[in-house]
Amino acid sequence: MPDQAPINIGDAALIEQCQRGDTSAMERLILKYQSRLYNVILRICSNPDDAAELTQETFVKVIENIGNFQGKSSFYTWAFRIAVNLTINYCRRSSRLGLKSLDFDESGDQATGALREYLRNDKSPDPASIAQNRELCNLVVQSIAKLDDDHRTILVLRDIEGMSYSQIAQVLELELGTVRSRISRARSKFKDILETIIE
Amino acid sequence: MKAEQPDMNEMLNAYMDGELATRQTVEFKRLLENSSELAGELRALEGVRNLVHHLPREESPVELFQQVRSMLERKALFGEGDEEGRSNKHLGTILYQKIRAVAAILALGSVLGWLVYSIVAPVDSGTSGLFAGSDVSLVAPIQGPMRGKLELVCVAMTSVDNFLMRSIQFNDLSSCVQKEELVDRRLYHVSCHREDMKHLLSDLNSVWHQFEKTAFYVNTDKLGEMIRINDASVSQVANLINEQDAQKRVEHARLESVRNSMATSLDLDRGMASSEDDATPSSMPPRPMLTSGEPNRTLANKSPDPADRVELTIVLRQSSM
Repeated sequence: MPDQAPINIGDAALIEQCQRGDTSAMERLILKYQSRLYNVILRICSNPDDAAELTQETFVKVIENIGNFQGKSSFYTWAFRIAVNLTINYCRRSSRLGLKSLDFDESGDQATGALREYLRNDKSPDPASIAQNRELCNLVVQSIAKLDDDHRTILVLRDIEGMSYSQIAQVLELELGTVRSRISRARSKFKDILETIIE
Repeated sequence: MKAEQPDMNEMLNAYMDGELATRQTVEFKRLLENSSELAGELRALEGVRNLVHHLPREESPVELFQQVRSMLERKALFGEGDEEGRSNKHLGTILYQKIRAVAAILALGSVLGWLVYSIVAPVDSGTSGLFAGSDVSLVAPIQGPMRGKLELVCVAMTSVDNFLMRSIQFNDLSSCVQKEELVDRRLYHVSCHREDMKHLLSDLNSVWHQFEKTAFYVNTDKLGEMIRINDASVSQVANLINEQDAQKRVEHARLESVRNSMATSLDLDRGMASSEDDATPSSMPPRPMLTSGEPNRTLANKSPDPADRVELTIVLRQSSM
């Protein structure tokens, strides 16, 4: 299981304080979720500046609408739904305007070699040490960016944020069965992209 | 067995993610034991998943809260729409450019006004002039307990963190504190009686010299407005927390803020700026609880008045040095 299970302890109290207008509670809520939201947005939109702006917009929308939040869904999935919708809309708009480049940057032979060894070797090296290889990480990030919006989003929510299938279903407003099949297809496509790089 | 059936790939993924029902998990485990090919596919899939899962996490932008607050102010003042604004960047029409020019002039005017205001009464830059001078109100004003934030920057974050945790335990405050650990900072959300806070501050006093920077923020009754006191001394913090009258506390905080700002601009010693002389016996207990080893004896006589409660977020930050 991914080691980033959502932390919901104290959310209800914080939200109640926010609804009463307590700015320090708003700050606490932002501090609690900013890193996770930013990383998810960054991996979906692939641009740090846009991710920073979209994270801000997400929190603005959260604060603007927190008075209407009734706790029917969890705050965690509600906030991520706002973030994902904003990010996907932005990605689609950028794509239409031709702002997004899908070409790979120059990746060193070393990174490609490390990726080949990782994928081909049955006794793969420790993934944590692989993650310290900056060029290899760039290669993986660029491969994620090559996925289409739906597959990229679901892969990020599952494998980076560590959401359960039912949480993903709530965030993306999908049936559980659709989540299951989409995750499977996203990973297959991601693997295909990686295979293309090392060929 | 080859995992080419459409459902088999989904099953493989769901098994790897721990999303199969108990019965299905048992059956799938049996299947894996009897098929080395399927087991190999599972290992390959785990490898691919781990590549993504172990990507290093990037640092989120600093001062995000301030930026969010500024964005809320801009939206309230100019009615700026996020998605519209983003799309308009690419339109480039003359009309849009004209609107932007007018908005820029207005924004410049606001900034200048804010600058002038901040010189006269320096409050936290995130919200000061814009919220203070207008009727912009997003939610109800804050009332009740004294609320604020104390930022402490030091090199030895871990040892101060340990010290603070011991102090919290010695002063019987564990149930009043929620702690969050981030990479470069520790957050303590303390909600307790005024008297208990004084004991905690008293202990903090003995490590105060380790802080390279300190800042104390006092919430006012206006939404989002906080008065920031740079280089705050422990006595200043204690005095402000000890002030029961919210209005007097805000006035007092403004004075302390000006005093410390002036001291900084005149390059005076921090000790001169701080109001050590004003630290009355009532605002600071005579001996720190942790270092004196005396148990906390004041817990029994506490007023239940909400105005006697303090909600303070202590941010202990690792110095970038």
